[in-house]
Amino acid sequence: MTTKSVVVVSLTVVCATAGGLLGSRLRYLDTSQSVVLVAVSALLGFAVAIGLLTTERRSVPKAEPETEPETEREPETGTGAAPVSPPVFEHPTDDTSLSPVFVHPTPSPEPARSGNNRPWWTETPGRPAAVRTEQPAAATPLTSYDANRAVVAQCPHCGDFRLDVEQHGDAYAFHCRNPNCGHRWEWSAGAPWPTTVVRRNLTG
Amino acid sequence: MDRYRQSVSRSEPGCVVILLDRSDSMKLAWGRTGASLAVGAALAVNNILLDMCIKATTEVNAPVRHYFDVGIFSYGARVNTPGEGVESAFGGVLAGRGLVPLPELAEHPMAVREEPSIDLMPVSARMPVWVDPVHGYRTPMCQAIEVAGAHVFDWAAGHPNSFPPIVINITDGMVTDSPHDGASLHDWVKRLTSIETNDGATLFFNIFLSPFEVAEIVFPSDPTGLPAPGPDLFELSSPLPQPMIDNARVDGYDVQPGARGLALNVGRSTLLRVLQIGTRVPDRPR
Repeated sequence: MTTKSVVVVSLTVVCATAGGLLGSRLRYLDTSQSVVLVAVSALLGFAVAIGLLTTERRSVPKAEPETEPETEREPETGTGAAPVSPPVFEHPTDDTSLSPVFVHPTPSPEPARSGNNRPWWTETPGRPAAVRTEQPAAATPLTSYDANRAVVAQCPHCGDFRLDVEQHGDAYAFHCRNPNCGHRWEWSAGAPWPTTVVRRNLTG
Repeated sequence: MDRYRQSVSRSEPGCVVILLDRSDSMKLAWGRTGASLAVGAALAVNNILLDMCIKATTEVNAPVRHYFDVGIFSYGARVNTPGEGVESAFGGVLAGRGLVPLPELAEHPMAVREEPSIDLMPVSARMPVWVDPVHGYRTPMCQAIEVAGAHVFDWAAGHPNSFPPIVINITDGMVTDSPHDGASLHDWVKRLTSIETNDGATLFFNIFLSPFEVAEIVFPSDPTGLPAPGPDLFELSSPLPQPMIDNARVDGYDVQPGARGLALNVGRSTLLRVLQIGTRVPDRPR
């Protein structure tokens, strides 16, 4: 029992005694009436005391902060009711010479919270009902060349990859589309690719 | 069918939710850092948010891309409505907001402050701050899952093809409100992890902070021998999906099959590394 509780209980007893004595002076009561009066007074006193004590307990914070809250950002105090033990803010660094710079010091109005106190776990679907079943569209097969055998060709004069090619049997005729180069050459399967020497004046 | 393979993109963003313990015990000093658990946790959360913003920027000075929706929910001491409970931990313009798109988050830090290095190197840097260190009251973890779960549920319904939501719980103690609304903490976690997208179930990871200097345990695969409350948290934690196992191995962790998204008694720098591993989802195919 806390000190405050003892004080409240003691005061209740004293007041009840005083009230009873005063009442007995003002009006004569027989024995049964006196018993009823004492019982009702005791019950009322008990109820008031319990009410006071439990009200007090409800307002007692669970945890007491040890340090002063920072003055740089005061928590909102709600609707004017006496705030109970505010939460403790801490400096994120011990170096007190570093002063925080607040970009947006004013909290915005309370936004809508989706589903607070909403039994979301009873709602369906917990999992999206529409399971993705469609397959990605198959890429259009390329018929113009064998992708597995495709090679990247490079102009041996300017190093450009923008080439036109014509096939004549095993031989290929190339034309570089670089407007600064325009080199033409031929190549046959099995022959070494011409040595590429990139001429800077042709690279555009 | 492979799950947890969906990469994040602007059309299929991811969702990261951090549950931040703001109970009274977070005032305890964190190892030799001299600062409290609350300060260290807030520092790590601010670091990971900045990290996500930077990774969502593909070019210098380019805007942050909407790769994630992010929510930070604190439980214990409340700031906006003083008392014990659960609330969005964002301050400033974002105060009270649930899930915030990454570009909006990047534009609205609560402050830009000189912050110490998280790995205790003697350097500091100015960095944006979204979350303040706060502590007080008890540990209503169930209620935190209830509140965050509503946001996660709505998000998953709206993003059925995205990588599943990732919920990371940072705490230094055990729940004080179980059972809550007739359900135990295990029940609440089961409800949370039953929220799915087509790519898998919601992931629930736990990071336990200890004020004492004891051995770190990261991504254990067996609850046997774990110090309290390790076995309980192990049961609550989701198995690490393969992409995150790969991430952890790249970061040097010896991750065994069956490893859970759980880290015990971590220090500051490990906390940030675990957050980085837990929030890194598959890269886009190149």
